[in-house]
Amino acid sequence: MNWLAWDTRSYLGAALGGVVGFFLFRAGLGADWFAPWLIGVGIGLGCALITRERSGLRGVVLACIAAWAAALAQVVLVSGGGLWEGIVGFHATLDLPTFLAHLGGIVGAFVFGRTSFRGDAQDRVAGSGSREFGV
Amino acid sequence: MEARGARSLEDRLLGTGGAASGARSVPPGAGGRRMPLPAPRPSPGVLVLSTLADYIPELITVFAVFFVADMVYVLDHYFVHYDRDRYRKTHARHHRRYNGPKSGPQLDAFELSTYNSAAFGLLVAMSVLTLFTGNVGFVAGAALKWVHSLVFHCYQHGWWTGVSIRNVRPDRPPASWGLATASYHAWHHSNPNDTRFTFAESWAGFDRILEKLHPWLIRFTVDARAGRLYHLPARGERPSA
Repeated sequence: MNWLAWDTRSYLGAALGGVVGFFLFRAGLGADWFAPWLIGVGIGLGCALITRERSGLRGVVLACIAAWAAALAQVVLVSGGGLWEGIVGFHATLDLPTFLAHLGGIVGAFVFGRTSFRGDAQDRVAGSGSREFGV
Repeated sequence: MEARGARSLEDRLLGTGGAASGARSVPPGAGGRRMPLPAPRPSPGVLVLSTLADYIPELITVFAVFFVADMVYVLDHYFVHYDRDRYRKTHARHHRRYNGPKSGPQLDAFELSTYNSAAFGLLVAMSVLTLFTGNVGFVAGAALKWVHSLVFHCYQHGWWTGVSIRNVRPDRPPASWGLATASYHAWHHSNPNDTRFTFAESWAGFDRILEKLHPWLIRFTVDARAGRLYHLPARGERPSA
């Protein structure tokens, strides 16, 4: 992959943040607090804490992953029923507050996922993943 | 599975007011007796049309995604030509390869990775829109663009043999507003710095618009911002960075 800002370390951080966000979302549901955005924010923060590079493209990719992760979490924890039916019917569950709750996660994943909290972080050089092709 | 809305269009096309879709009408003067009318059998053409009509929003979305994706590809292609470091590190290899005799596979690992990761990124982004709208046209359009991108380049690169593409396709394409054919786009492979833009892979109009916007748009390129252009160009002029 030479276009998707792939960096194992960054995406591992995002995955860990997403898992933390998932458990926080689940805990919130127990207190009648519907906050799927916690997953997206967790993904973005997890990445920003651990990555050494800033990358706008990585922010976009993480925002997409966050959208799917929060939707899957809602289907599994809230909607019930089959996974496929839940995903296909997900859009029908979106009233304005629910949509905004998901949008918050997407925006959070993008905003945090594109940056790095490390002081010495550099902007990712486009095409740096193409080293493997020897160019 | 019954097609959505098949009844309405079928009835509209056949003018049967519901009879074609199974509803039975009572003809005037029948004295109140129910006289079942034979339901006319729609022709296969009508059925195909009615099925397509049911998916008009999805079909429009497929077209729109394909169209917009190609515009994004064109813009990114343009910007990489004015980003010296990115060009040298990635894209230059592509042009070098096709300006010599064929010395490798039709699409090498780098090109496959480029086309596939761009298409995969588009598919992932469009999948989110499908998830949130229920319109499968977003994903279908991205998938169509993926297939088009690979088939288009494989077909085009098929011309490339023991001689370079520059010698196989020596004619400069006209500045058209029609379809961007494989032959049209091949010009860019062999003449990457020509003032006739041929970045487009589906509609050549993107290139004509880009040519008009070029004197303004180039100011936003990496090379221009880094001061690596000697001067900003006049219309139709394409400086080398």
